[in-house]
Amino acid sequence: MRHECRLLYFWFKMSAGPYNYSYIFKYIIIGDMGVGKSCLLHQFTEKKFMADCPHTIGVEFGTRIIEVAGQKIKLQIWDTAGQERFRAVTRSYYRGAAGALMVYDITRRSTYNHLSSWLTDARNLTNPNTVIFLIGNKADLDAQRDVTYDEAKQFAEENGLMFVEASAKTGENVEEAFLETAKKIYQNIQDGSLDLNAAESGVQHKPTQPGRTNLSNDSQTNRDNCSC
Amino acid sequence: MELGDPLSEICSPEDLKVFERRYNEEVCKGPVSSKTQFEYSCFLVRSKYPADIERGIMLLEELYKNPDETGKRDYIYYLAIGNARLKEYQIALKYLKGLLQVEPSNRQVLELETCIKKRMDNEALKGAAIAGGALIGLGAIIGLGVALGKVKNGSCCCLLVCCVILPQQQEKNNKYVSE
Repeated sequence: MRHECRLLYFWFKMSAGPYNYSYIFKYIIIGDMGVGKSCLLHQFTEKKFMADCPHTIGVEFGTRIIEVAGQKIKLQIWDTAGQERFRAVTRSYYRGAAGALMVYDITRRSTYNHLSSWLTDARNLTNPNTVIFLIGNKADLDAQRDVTYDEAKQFAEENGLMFVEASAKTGENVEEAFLETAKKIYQNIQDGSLDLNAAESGVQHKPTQPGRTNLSNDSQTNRDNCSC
Repeated sequence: MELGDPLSEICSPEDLKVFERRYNEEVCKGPVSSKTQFEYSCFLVRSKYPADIERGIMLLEELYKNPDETGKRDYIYYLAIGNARLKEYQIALKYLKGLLQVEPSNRQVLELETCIKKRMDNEALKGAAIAGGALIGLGAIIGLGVALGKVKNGSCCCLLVCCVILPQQQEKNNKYVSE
């Protein structure tokens, strides 16, 4: 009998809600083709640099569980294709994003010049509380720099964006960009400016199971691209 | 929002309508541009209705067969998604195999392949569970028939089980398997 009880308890533990996180935040990554959006995602989820990265087809999906203020948060990240031919398709993924990472390449001025167009899309298609974070990628290639830090910083300030220069290759500031965005979203939830009940807030609250222990999920890295 | 993988993600009906209208407008005016056709297909294969997915596949095949087209890689990827969503897994895997021949380390393609294989495994498991359950049920009925037959010492009951109940059960099983 005791054995059956244990089995039953084990089954209950296994089946009682798979949530080992309290929130889900939806992110999108946008920007011109070849600025390193997929490499940033890969660096963030796998802590590896992909040297030879083919163009993304449509969208790619990645997840990782992080911790903000003692709360486990699952980031659900939609990495969009930068090619113009996908623009109409990728726009449909903006809706309901809590965070948007807008990326340009510091060695290619044209990718910086196109930011206003990306920003217009992001503003028009997301909700007013969506946190937009500007990332100047390829910071390791300082010798080939085409956009100064100060110039981009000023652009970010004028448009109310958070900003860092990062490198998907070395990993510099990659973690920070994703985490700072999450912190800002969490802060918006805490001070009430982001209404979780509003449609398309990009945030889902998942009350954790009482008495359920979170086993080794501390900044767990998982790219479970398939939840099927 | 919880679901997020290339196969379970569904496009909104409003988006689909917008691109459908655009496509139909172009059809009325003359030949449709490949951009419009491709955009419409991308939404169709992500629709929740199988008829839409089938239409998306048809339009993508049309684009793919056009020798002047340059974005064949994109068409093949979406053909794989459409077919996988219709549970035509073998066809979907064949498309991905083609893509991997050109780009063997393409992570996005490899991930879709893993996703499809996982689905195939899950469905095979489900099928086996249903068949197993049905078999146990069948066994129980035969057992009951035999027992009753023994108790009443008459063969009528056994005959009833064998001639009437068993074929019915068999038919049900077949239905489950085909589903």
